[in-house]
Amino acid sequence: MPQKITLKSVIILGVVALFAYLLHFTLLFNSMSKEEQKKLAIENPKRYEKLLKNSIKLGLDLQGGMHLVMEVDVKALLEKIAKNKDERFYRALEAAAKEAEESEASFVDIFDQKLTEEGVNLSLYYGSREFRDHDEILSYLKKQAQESINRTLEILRNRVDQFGVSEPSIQKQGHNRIIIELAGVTDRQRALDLVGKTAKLEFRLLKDPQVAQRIASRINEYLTGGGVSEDTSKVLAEKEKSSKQDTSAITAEELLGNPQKTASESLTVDTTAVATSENPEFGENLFFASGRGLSIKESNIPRFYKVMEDPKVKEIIEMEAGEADILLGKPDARTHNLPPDKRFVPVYVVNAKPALTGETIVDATPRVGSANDPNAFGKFETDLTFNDQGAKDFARVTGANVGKPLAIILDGKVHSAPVIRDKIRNGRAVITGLESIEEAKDLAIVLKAGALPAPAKIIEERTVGPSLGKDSIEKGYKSAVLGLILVALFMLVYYKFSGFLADVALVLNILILLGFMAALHATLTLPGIAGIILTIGMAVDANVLIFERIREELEVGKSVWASLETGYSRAFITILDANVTTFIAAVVLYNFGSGPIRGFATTLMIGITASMFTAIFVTRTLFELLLSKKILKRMSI
Amino acid sequence: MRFFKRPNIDFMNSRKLAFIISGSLMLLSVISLVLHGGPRLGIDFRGGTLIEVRFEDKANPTAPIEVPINKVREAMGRYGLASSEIKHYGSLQEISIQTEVKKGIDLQIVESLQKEFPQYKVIERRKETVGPKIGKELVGSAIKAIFFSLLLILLYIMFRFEFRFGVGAVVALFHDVLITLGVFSVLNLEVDIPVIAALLTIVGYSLNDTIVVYDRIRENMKKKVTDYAGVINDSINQTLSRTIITSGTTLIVVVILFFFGGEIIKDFALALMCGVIVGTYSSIYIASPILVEWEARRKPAKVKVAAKKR
Repeated sequence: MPQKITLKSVIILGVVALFAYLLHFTLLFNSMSKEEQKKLAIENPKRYEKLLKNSIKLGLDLQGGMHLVMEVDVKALLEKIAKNKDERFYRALEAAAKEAEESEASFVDIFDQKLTEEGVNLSLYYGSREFRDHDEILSYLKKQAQESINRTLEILRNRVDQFGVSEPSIQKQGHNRIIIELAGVTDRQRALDLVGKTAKLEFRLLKDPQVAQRIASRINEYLTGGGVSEDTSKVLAEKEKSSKQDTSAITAEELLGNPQKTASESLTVDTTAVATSENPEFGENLFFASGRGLSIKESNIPRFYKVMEDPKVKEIIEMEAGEADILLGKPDARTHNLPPDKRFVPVYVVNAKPALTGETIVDATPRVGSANDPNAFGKFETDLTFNDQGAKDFARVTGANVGKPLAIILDGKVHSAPVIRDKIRNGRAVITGLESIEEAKDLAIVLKAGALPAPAKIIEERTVGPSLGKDSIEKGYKSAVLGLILVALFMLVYYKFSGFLADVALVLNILILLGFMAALHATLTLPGIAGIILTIGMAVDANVLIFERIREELEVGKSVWASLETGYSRAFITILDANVTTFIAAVVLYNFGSGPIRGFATTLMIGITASMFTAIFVTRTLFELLLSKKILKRMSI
Repeated sequence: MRFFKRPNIDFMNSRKLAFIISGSLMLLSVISLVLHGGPRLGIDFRGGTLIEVRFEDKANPTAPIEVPINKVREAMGRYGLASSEIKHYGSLQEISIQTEVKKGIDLQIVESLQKEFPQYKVIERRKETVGPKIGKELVGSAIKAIFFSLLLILLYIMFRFEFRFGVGAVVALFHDVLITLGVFSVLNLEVDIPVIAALLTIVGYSLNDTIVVYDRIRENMKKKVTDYAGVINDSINQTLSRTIITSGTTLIVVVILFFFGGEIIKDFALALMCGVIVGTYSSIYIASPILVEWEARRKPAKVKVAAKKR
């Protein structure tokens, strides 16, 4: 005789109720139209939150969105914190970068090795009073790399949060990678810019205009062949090196420009064209001077970067101005409609060392440009506020340099170089001339969350458009329904009434599966749907095992109850063994995969467990219930 | 309703034939794989960029159109990407492009296609970019995952049954995975992460069948055994109904996925299909006969090569 049928029935009803409850959020939420959802969000935000939070999450491949894997650019970090950088340094750095693509070893170690091959020691570039010993420096560098990664993670979290993506996901992977998932983000470029931007904000003083002029002329001379003749093979090597730059790192400038010979319209020295197609660096003048300062043609921007790589040029700069950089500014907006070779970009010769950095910024606000300022009107701007220390430094710098221009530099590009009118005590600055409110907003986000201490590269990117996502959901849904119908039909025909009970168990199975996923806030992906469909096919297995066993027992002549008993108990062991192995495979898959595949492993694992429960516990209780109430007289199986 | 009323097929008798068939299939798979230099890896493993675009007629979005691949290739050629892999994907108006070059190019691809086909609207459906380093890492983890699961399963079976059962199971699984890879190689299909997921699923699932048979064998072994092969035969026959039905229902479901699940899931479903079919076959004709052969080498008297007819 069956024991505790009532208790068991109650348990089952309880389970049904529980999972129906867990699922109802999803059903409710998805039955509302977009407008209704928006309305609810405004009118009753708490309820909206609750519905959203407890609904089944759709993966990126179903709702559309971006999945990015970023790796911190240790190479850039090492370059940044090094002193006395010379040719050997850069050579070793490039060589290390190449090898790092293949190797698993830490970049710092590879770099160290390359430096040794060049015959130099780490201490030449990184040594200080505290760190003189090679090993000390090595571990210091590694620690720097480690810490910067963690900081990057925090900062990215801030940024992406402010991006307004619902449930953005940022996870650290391994020891130097970050995985970012932006659901529903369709404007890829904007997302990429936001995530990849270093947003290194610096304030640097400009060098004297005469110094700038001299540097420009000397470089011009050199480029037009009037200067010291260079070993062309070395120059070619430089060119090749710079044209292979990995452009997935920070700056917006494209280094893959097309070097062209343009008609010379120089305002200063006359040209003697030495240009050949192999040395686009050389040829006509690069810099032009006017009353407002130095500039270059916009079409020459790629060339400019190549030229800046040239060690001879670096030498010239150092001789004339000491530690200095030459940076580009933004093109004059009024020349917007002219072709690139008639547009000019201002060039600034600035101190290499920033007078102030962006790490002391506490707030940044986007605004519409003030109507009072002709430069700002019609455009947008971002207001900055510094912290106490920043305000102090800012006051000091502005106080000591009244009348001189201070360049505001973002990501190596000079946004503007306003002249310091007077000492700014209250720690507020403004970056004006931004083209759109989007730009102002993004700039504010980026500045507020602070600068990334090391640029991060995107090493993997997967984007699914929303149209594909919708298609996938539809197809998945249709397949699931079709599969369910066919399997259920088969069970009904083959096992008659018992088959019907198995079908009931199957539906309950899916209910539990989906409810569990909602409760765990698990993500449903396309492979996940496939996993659900697979579960449908596999779930009947347990039932089949049991039913076949029961059939056998009945044939031997055992009574209905005895057959039931033996059938279930004997089959249980088999079911357990068989499902455990599939479960093991699913666990391994969960560990190996990420994203969509994880979704598949999850649905498989939950599905297997649920199917065991429904097959063993639920159908048996149903049988017992119906038999004992004499609703079912014989086993229809 | 019954498919088989008391089946009494002599499986063990035909095991030599089965070994030959399996052996040849495995050999064919190996040859194909060697000829192709390994399985054809998708961008997940070799790095690169995959873009899937859909063309729609601007005037009439729902009208089906055929997009000529050579014109797409021309457009790609302008960026030095003429040697990319370009093919129709699902329908004649959807194109998938795979290139080696990683980045910055992708936006230009859509733009340049739009310029090339101004009468159509070019929609980017999805894009995947995988750096070479990540690709290599994924290959490593995939291989580790497959071996690790095989190991875990071997241990589990050894724990629940005996060592020889474990050997039989693992050989059968290895056979299943190899032949599935062989099928992919012969059909020149790409192996990417979902396919590896399917392989791992097959590893777990194919074992289902094997265990059900083993379980019955174990049960039947409790009685006195004079005819080893006969016992195994009986066990298989007794569980035949269940084996066919379960594989059948799973197959139904996977076939539905293959035909209705969409392009993305197609290869994944195909791998599962192969796995289910080959897996069922291997439970009967690989896993079990190995037990017989094992026993034959241990106690030749107990095994009769020609099983008795009942």
